Amino acid sequence: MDTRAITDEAIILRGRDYREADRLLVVLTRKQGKISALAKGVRKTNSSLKAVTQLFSVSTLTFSHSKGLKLVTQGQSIESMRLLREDLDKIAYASYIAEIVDMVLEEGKANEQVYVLVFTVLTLLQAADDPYMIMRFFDLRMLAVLGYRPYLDSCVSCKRGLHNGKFALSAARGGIICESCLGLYNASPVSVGAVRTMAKILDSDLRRLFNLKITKSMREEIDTAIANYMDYYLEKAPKARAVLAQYTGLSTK
Amino acid sequence: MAFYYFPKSMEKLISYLMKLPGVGPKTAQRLAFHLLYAPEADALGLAEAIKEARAKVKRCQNCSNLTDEAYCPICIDATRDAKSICVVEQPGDVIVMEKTGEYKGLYHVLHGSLSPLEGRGPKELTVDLLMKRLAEGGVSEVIMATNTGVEGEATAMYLARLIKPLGIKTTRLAHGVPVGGDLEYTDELTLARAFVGRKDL
Repeated sequence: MDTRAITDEAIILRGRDYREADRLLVVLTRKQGKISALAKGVRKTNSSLKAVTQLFSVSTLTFSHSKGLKLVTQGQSIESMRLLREDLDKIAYASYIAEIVDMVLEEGKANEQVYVLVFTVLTLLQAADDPYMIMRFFDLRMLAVLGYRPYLDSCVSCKRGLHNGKFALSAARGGIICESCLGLYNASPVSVGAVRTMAKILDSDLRRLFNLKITKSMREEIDTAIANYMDYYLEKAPKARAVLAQYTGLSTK
Repeated sequence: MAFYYFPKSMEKLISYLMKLPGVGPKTAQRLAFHLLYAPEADALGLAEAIKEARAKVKRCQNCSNLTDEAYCPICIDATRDAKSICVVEQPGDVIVMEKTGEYKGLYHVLHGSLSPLEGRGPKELTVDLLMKRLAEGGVSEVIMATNTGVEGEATAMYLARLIKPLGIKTTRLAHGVPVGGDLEYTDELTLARAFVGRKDL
């Protein structure tokens, strides 16, 4: 058994209170993938690990093995992600990201692409006024990283081009499908504009995305389509999405 | 091969004790032996006390704090300032606030905090009751004394969004350096907030 300590960059995905003053964390690390670890005494006011075990914060953490469960022994903050915790909507958005990452990753399987994606998205979210693009960027790129990238070039069945006909996004078929091929598949209707926007989100440079103008109706179209598509592969709807709807339904500040 | 087990009734007791927080199989066994050997009055007294507490303790109809009566002693107390309500997560937090001796107003106990990650929304808390109290009028300040983690902050911000449109002053407990604490060992977040909230000497 390897008893040496591991030091790795880690993002705190979720934490729940454990025993008197401990917290059981789920963290996403750069090199070890998703791991669970126990942070002892972090709910006491004078714990030095308190800041580095806050939700969404990114730190260099040192883990040591105790019986089975890893313990967090040291930590140094890289990016506190403070702004994510000081705004109700951003808490909800970041929670959604954390929940999905926790759902799709297997414990202890390294996936640096996911780490970089989550770090990028959380960092951008901190400063964002309108998180819409960042969130859909996360959704689509996450699907792509996991190998569920939707096929958006033409109808998955008859290869009919995007320029004519009506299309829908089908999770079961893994991409867009035209009206005549749709049959009994469950799919969300998407306009050609929405398909093109999703394709851009998947392929363009991140900086260009923020200049894209999307109408409200197209946003809703893309939201529904991607949500249905993701839920098919996640096998259940993330809880945070419902909460997100509750929060953002309120007038802001 | 036959193993020897505890008597059935004792196994049952152990299995219930194991459901308590922080109690594993060994501790449960030890507690079970203790209860069997302890004076009858002590052991049965415990059983009675559990029964009584379960039957009697309910939520105060006004503030949702735990109480034996319809209303808790704080809500009934006429000397307390009914113009301010201090919102806390747990009944235990009321005790802590009371120990400071600083606060003379009323409380509201939420029985939890909002957590998008755990799917815990406002409906799981006593938010509706709080809003009903505020709608009745007469309250000029609501103090958010939820915990300072993400969930507590989210709860405070969510409530502030609901309450501020009513024109009621909504305040949050200050964040600062602990009394007797060394600056060197204070994390940068707390220190930053303590700096923003600094006071005239």
